Amino acid sequence: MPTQATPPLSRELTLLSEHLGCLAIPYDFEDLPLLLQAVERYRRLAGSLFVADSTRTTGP
Amino acid sequence: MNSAEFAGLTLEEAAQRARSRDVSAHELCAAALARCYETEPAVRAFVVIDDVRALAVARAADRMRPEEISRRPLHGLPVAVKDVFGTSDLPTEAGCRALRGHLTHSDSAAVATLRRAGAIVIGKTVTQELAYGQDTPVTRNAADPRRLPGGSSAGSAVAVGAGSVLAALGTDGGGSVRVPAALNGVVGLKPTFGFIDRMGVITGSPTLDHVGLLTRTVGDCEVLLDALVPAQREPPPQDAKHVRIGVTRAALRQPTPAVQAQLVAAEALFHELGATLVEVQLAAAERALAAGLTITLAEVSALYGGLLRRAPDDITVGTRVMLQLGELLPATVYLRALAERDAIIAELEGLFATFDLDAVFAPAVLEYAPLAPARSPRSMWEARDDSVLKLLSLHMWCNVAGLPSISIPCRPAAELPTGFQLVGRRGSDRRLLQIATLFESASSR
Repeated sequence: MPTQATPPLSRELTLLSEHLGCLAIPYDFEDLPLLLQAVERYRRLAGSLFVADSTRTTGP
Repeated sequence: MNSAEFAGLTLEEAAQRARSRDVSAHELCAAALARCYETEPAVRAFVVIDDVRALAVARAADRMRPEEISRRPLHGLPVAVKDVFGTSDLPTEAGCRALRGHLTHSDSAAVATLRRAGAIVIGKTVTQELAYGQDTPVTRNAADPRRLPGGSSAGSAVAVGAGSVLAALGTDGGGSVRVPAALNGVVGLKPTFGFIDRMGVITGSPTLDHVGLLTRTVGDCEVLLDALVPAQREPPPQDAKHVRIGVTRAALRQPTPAVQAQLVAAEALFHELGATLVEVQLAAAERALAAGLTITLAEVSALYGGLLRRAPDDITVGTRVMLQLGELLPATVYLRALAERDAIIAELEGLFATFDLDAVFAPAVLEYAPLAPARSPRSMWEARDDSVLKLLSLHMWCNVAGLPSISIPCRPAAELPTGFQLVGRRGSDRRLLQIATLFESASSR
């Protein structure tokens, strides 16, 4: 089902994600709870990869 | 030949009998199809069974001259392929409604090689959607149809386990061949990355996905691998006296007590065979889950972003959420995951070199095949426990590092099938099969 009533803030987020070449996220607001759950659990699992000064990268 | 006889044959035996014309290709195919029709109502391993075409191909094979047959190592042997392998004669839908009726018009490289070697593709097998492992397949376990088969190469493992085909092709991006192999009591090989040509396969992650093999025995796996990647075979070792196997105690404590008991027995058999068992730490393997999952999410979303936009309603919510999550990942995180992969590869190469290991012994599953639930989680993230992530962590390090890994059934099977993995150095696929053969021969005595 395509997105229907989009709240104002979500409209801006949608615009932002579209400008970045992403899908208007979430595709369906019914996906949102599951997507948030996925993001949270994924972040817990892969948190070290989100650390900007990771020692494994070779930046200055 | 009747269906029960066919179900008891190995590919090695069938190949020998077909080439000596002790049994015709048509007899083999007819028996395989009869077995399919008996087992399919309970296990639902196939998306499509192409019986008319398979029998016609078999009849044509039976008209070949002996010198032609002698050049075909898989002459007349019925096999199946996961529904991600492009085939010239059947749609390739990858378990996804958005790809319904998708025609590749040509065979994938692996299927073309199998057919040139004489194999007869009798059908295509069930895969989880886009081989991503989020939906629950309709397929049920070959040993107990009340139970799940594992995934994503569910149908291929079950078709072999149920005795409907002599071998099947699958793909493995994080255990998708090895997990269903262990749960259905068959052998599953994920070779070294790139060892078998992936051209024409609807892939998951291009840098983690492998073409894999599912067979009834290790010997069958060798025959199939030789047909796909011809090589001069070296004489097999007579015993395991010069074999060094790394064992990780922490990993072996993870499965349920029943599975642990089977692993302990398998490890003890290697010891009896004279192998040297060396305790090792697999710290790199533990980190590989985060890197592998990140690479998978980003790469699969890059591949299927168009499909997600064109046909979102024809993709199940679990897969859709994975595709959206992949789109949210910053490129910087993906690049750090790639750097982590390089570090993991270096560490694992160091581990094999330091201890002069031929293989690492590890669990392939954590429990027996679970009963099919009344209501399945919509994605692995929704499940209340981390069982899918734990299962992925058993396998993902081999995909991240591109190492060959074979899932071997523990024998004699207890109440339900289970298995273990042997993981080798890159390119040591045939050595790994030789070690697996030593185990299989000893365990079936």
